[in-house]
Amino acid sequence: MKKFIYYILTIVLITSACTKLDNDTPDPLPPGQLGNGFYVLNQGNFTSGNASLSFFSEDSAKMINNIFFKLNNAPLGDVAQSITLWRDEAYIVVNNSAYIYVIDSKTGLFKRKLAELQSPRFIQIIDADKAYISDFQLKGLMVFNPMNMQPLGVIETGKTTEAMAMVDYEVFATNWSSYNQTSTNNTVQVIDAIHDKLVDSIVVAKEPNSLVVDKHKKLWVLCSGGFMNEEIPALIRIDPASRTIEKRFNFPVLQSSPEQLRINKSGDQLYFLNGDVYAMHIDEEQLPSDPKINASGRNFFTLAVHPEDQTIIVTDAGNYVQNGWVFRFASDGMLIDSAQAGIIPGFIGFIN
Amino acid sequence: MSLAYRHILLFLQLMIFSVVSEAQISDTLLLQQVEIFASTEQLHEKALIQKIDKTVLQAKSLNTVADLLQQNSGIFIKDYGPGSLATASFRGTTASHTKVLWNGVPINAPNNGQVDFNRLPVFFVDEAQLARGAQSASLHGGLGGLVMLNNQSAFNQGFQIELKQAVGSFNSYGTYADISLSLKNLHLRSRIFRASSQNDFEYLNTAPIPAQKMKQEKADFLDRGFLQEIHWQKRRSLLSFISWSQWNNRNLPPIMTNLERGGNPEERQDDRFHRNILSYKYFWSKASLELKSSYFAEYQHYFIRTTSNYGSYETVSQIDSKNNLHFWQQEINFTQTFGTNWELNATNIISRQAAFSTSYENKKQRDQYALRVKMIYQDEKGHLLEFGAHQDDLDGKLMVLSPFAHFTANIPGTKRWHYSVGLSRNYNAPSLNDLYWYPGGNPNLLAEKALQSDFLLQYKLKQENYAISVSAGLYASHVEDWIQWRPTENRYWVPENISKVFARGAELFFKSKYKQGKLKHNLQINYTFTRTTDESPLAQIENTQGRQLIYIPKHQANAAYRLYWNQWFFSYTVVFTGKRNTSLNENEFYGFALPAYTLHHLSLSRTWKNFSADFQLNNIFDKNYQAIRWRAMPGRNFTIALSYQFKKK
Repeated sequence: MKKFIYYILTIVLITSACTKLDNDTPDPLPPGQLGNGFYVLNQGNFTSGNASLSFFSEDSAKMINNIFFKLNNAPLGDVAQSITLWRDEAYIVVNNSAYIYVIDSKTGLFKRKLAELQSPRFIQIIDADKAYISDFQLKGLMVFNPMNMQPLGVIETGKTTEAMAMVDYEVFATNWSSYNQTSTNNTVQVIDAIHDKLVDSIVVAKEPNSLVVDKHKKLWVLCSGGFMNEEIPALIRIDPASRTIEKRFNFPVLQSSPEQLRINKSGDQLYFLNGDVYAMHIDEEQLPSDPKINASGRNFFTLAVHPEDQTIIVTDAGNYVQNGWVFRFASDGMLIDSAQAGIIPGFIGFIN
Repeated sequence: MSLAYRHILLFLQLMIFSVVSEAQISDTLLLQQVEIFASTEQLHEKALIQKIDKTVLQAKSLNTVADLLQQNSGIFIKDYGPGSLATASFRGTTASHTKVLWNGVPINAPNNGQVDFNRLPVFFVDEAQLARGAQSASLHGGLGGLVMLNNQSAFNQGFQIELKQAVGSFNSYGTYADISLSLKNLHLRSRIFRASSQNDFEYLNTAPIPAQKMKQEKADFLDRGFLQEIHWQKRRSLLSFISWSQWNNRNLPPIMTNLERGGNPEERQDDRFHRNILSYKYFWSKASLELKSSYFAEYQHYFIRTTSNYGSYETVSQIDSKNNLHFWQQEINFTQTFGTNWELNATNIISRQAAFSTSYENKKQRDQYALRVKMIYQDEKGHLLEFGAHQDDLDGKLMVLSPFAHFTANIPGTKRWHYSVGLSRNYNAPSLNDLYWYPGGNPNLLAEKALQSDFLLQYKLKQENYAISVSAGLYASHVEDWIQWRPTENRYWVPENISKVFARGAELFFKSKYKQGKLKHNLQINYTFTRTTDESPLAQIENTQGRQLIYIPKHQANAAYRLYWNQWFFSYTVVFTGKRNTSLNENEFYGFALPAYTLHHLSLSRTWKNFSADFQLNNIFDKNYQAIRWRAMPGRNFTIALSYQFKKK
């Protein structure tokens, strides 16, 4: 009988030892004002549900990672695509979870959400009562009320939609993804934002991935040339009023994939990524041949230009399976500092 | 080397074996021959082969091999949830480094090199063994290890029938039938099963704000299988045909963060396979020759679709991926004993993998020609030496020569202490997906190469009413050219021979039996400590050198107590899975790390003449846990089964 007791005791010992190892201590963040700075939206790995939100405090020059989880005790979701700041709120589009979370941009606290979307990518706020959501799979733009997060319908565009920009109440949406369409993904769809209606389509080059509006209200569209580098990449200037192409700059190398077109606050300096960071004045007649900032082995992933001081912010996704980095460069390309963010740091959102 | 040339070589080899063997022919009966080879099997138990007890196989006959190994071995099962994918890995390697042999023939899918252990019913298995390190290499196993699942012939057993009906939580049902006719020279056995579950268990979803209790949806599955065995023996010959067909249909549930996707997403996988082995074995007094022909066909269909939330509800996204996989293998195996101490084993294999896949640009195939030679020495003092080498040729390209050796002996001056030392070199060929996936497949990939070493100390004590066996081992494995999928300047990922992985660790296995009147107690404990790190120059640049690879727990343990009393059987199992990292970060954020968890299970069964009843209670303490990040797992659940057995000699 003693030996029987020995057996039972052994089991109990193992069980209790294992249960002790089960514990894991959370590290919540007390809510409060975040101060000046910018958000870094970390995409996370596809189907891993490890997207996260970081906040870089310009007051302390420090990054706070996993701020969304720490404040709201929940994950951000699966593949965080974009963050749009408007008034005192930030609209975070979580692509593979197919929802939009709205947070208080000053505190990072969760406020409300819109779920059951298809494959949302970006948000274009039209006014206080209306905003558009572009979609990787849907041949249209979803319309919703940003105040109460109620869906208002869909604008059929005939093609999927990606990056958006608004000029004089006309929204220009790029057709980047070739999903769910037989026609080539090489257009910018023009939507009348008053009547929520497709009014035109401008053929550019394959895979238009980003667009900006310059100080002359000209639209600049960057096209990467296709997933398999089928076409030569191009930077294209469009006159939104006449909806015609005014300039086209072809990239010299077919195998390149330029993306992340950005513009400074004064609207005269373009920036984009093509492995390295390139800058180009809007009046230039050719593409820059030398980079403004050399990647030097880093995996530059996204790009942003600070609206106040023209600081260039670049993210480095590293090897995609560990935390990436955010680098801040002065407008002359000199490194200011760097900070670790989350897995695949992507979209940058500046607090207004 | 052309295929025709290889066939000629194979034929010549067969002829040589036949001539050599002819000299050994005697009139000894087949049953006596078998004993020679049984002795080899006993010797293997001394080294690093773990055999799952038959009583455990019987007790877990309604479960999958994934459940069986999770609770009764030291290997790590990566489980995506009930009915979903479950893969196995040894000693800090990956699922594609685990080779699975069914009756000696590999069943790893040619496209991804893996086996889904949730699709392997224990009901179809008569013998389960695991081999690691040099032992795995000597048995044609993978870099990590080898799982051997066998069916066994039995003659003169008469007519037997066994019917089982199981009902469990979450609308789970299982029906099993086993009919066997065993005559003097002929053994026919048919097994059939049908297992299904709605899998609609309740769990706490901590992803939404606020966290809420939810019911798992879209996780139902239906598996059906049929296994037919025909064994015929005549004097010195044994002819066997084994055929295993299975149909598996399952819905794939989204992860917890993705439950609110619009467009009514539908994701499912429908697979079927047919595996056939025809073998002929001829025994002499000191030799045996086996010819084995295998043909496996597997069809995999992965489907995902979402429809528009608006308007016409048209399909907005769809992936309809189909894989037609075929595998042929011809094998000749010759075993010869010399005197009382030496045994030679030589194997010659020709095989072809072919894949028609929507993920490849066109049909892909790979031919293998393999020669494997092994010598075994054993003596009465308990020495066992096994050494040999494999030489494989893949598509005309010679793979690295893979020698192996392991030695087991008593520690001088002791009777109960043994030690075992093993050294081996092994390789793992890239899967067809690694080579040909479109886009990204890299046809220039090299095979992964491993240098492995083991040391094992074993204590065995056997007395009249109790027995104890304790094994403590250390292992180290250096893998060169470890294949890793990495992003490129194009937006798709490409596999490359980048990493240089160092896997090392310790293993502890404890087994004891104690007889106390009519009571029989069994206690088994398995513990593994695993450190697997990437030591490549790139890892140094990326600052990940020395960090534990993703989803490999450092600590893993299980303990099972079993009690037999007259017609009663009781078992209590504890399974501990250590913390796992989900990224290569130095300090994993608590929100994304997977904390350690411990699960407790019990089972109780009673037999009455021809009937028996089984009751299984799993996750007794209703532990809320995740094996894979954001994959829901069931809480407390049960299964009740009633069985009817009939035997007539």
